[in-house]
Amino acid sequence: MTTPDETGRPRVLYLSFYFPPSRASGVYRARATANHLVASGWDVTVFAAPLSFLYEAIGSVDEKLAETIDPRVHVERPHLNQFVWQHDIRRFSRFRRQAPLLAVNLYNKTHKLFPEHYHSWGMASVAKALRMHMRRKFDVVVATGNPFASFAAAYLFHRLTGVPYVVDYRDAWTLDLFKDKPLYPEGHVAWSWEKRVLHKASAAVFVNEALRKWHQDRYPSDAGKMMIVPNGWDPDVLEEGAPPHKTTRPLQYTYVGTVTPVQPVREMVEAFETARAHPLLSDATLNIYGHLGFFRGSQVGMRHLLNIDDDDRVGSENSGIIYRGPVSKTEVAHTYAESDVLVFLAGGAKYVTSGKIFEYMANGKPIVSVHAPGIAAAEVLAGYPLWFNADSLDPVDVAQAMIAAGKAAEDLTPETRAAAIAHAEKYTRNRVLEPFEERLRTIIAKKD
Amino acid sequence: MGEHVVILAEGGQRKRAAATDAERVVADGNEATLVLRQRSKWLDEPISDRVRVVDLHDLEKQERWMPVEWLLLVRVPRFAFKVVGVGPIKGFSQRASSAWRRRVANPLHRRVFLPMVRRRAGSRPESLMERGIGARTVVDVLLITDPGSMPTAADFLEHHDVPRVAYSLDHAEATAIGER
Repeated sequence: MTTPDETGRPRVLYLSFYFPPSRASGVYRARATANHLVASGWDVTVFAAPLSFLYEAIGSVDEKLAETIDPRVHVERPHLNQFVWQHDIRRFSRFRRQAPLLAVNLYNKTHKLFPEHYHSWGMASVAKALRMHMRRKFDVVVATGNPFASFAAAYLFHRLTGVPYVVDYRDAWTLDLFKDKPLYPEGHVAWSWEKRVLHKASAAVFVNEALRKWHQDRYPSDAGKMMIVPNGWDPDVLEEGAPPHKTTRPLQYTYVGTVTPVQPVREMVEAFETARAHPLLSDATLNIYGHLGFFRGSQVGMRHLLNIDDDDRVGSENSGIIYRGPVSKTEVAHTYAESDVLVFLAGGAKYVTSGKIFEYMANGKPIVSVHAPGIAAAEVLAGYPLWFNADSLDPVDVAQAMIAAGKAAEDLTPETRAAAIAHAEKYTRNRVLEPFEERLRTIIAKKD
Repeated sequence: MGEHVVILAEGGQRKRAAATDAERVVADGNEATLVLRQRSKWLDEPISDRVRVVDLHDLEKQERWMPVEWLLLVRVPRFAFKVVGVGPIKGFSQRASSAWRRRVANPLHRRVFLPMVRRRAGSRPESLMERGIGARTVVDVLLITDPGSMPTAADFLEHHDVPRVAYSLDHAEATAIGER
């Protein structure tokens, strides 16, 4: 049996550096995991990034998202040495101001122990976890990466206390997802860390089959403990059951999500400009909702890349593409309701699923793909009746897919939409997290 | 007049970048002050006439007892070597003179006398820098171009309110230089 507290709930420590109010790309999975576990009867303690890091160092927050966290989730924020993010000399320590090169050299030496800037957060997490564990025991630790200092912290905590842990590969640690090759050279310390972390883990979770397969091939002795928990969509923020928006011309195409340089944005812009030559799309608009880059400083470069003018028009003057700015997760339902066609813009290929696609499917509207062929997201899109995929990044092919999606939006029947939503139902967060929660219960039952 | 940009290049590790940034500042109609140490080491790096140069080494040499140190450590020994070094030992004497300068005078200057000078409040690099650019001059942007400038910059910022601090002109421009 488990180690229940006074209320009989098993206790989980969730090491999730990026947690609301962070708006980092994987934060929705973390939010959903914490909420799901607490709703399933767990006592959940989350260790997350310090607020000073989120607000001052990277300036990447969505405060409304924090309001969607179940109040029963207990959040702690261990210390992080923000050396590398600290640029204002007025806030440097006396030592760093007087001996800047020595300070940098000493800081860089710590990377030989663990190759990430977040290692101090990992160590602080272990120390805090030990203090809390002495007062009341944790039954299991779940660590999600990136950053992967959380994996190392879970491993160290396990070595010190014997508490089992599960690692959730929201992202890959040693694989470059966008180049499909190892991120580190052979012999790099990251490999030995990953090996020992996986070896001692009770389970390792991946977001798609391609990622699991890559890790199974790399670590065959631990292959049996690797499972898939795909991303999903969150009915609580999508106002499940909202009535479909009645399509009226001009058609509204929408992309919702962070725009980054790894996405084929130029191809998307060119394709939409081409598609507008078709009478159906002559007055159509492509609305881009989201932040430009993940960090405060990335705005300027992205505006240049997208050729956004002062009126927020993207591309050429008559492209019909407008940058609408960020939309909070809690307001995204309205944005989807106002759209006729959703544009799935994604970087990378084989290993990339993108959490956004689940949300797109949940709206039961035509989805047009703008990504490299063979993307892992095809696993979940296969069977979705309103998916329009050029299977190419040639702007002419993508434009044809855009036109076909526009026609489908005009001809959309309640039956087709219902079939699309039924497909999406398989990926509600609760559904995809149920096997994971069961696995955690099995792990703590085994421990006892 | 535009903004006053002070470019700190005390360490001299990024001379070209500092000189280029200074040139760009004046080309844009702003005022640039380049703070460096030992102008003689910058001869290979042309600095625009429109850029005001503050040489901390020169200012340090103006300290009251620096000429005394210079006399004792350099001029007197050099004179002695010259007097003694005649005839067959002339070559030996010249070598000994430069060895003295290299092995004794310079290390003593750097490790003993300079730290003593800099311990005085009015002789610290940030005070010299303030004196060089003018105590009442407003600094709108401070560019710290190399690690060697960091201690001076940090001390200067403790006593001066500078709206923007950056590590290069591009970095400063990201925060809209010239548009206060």
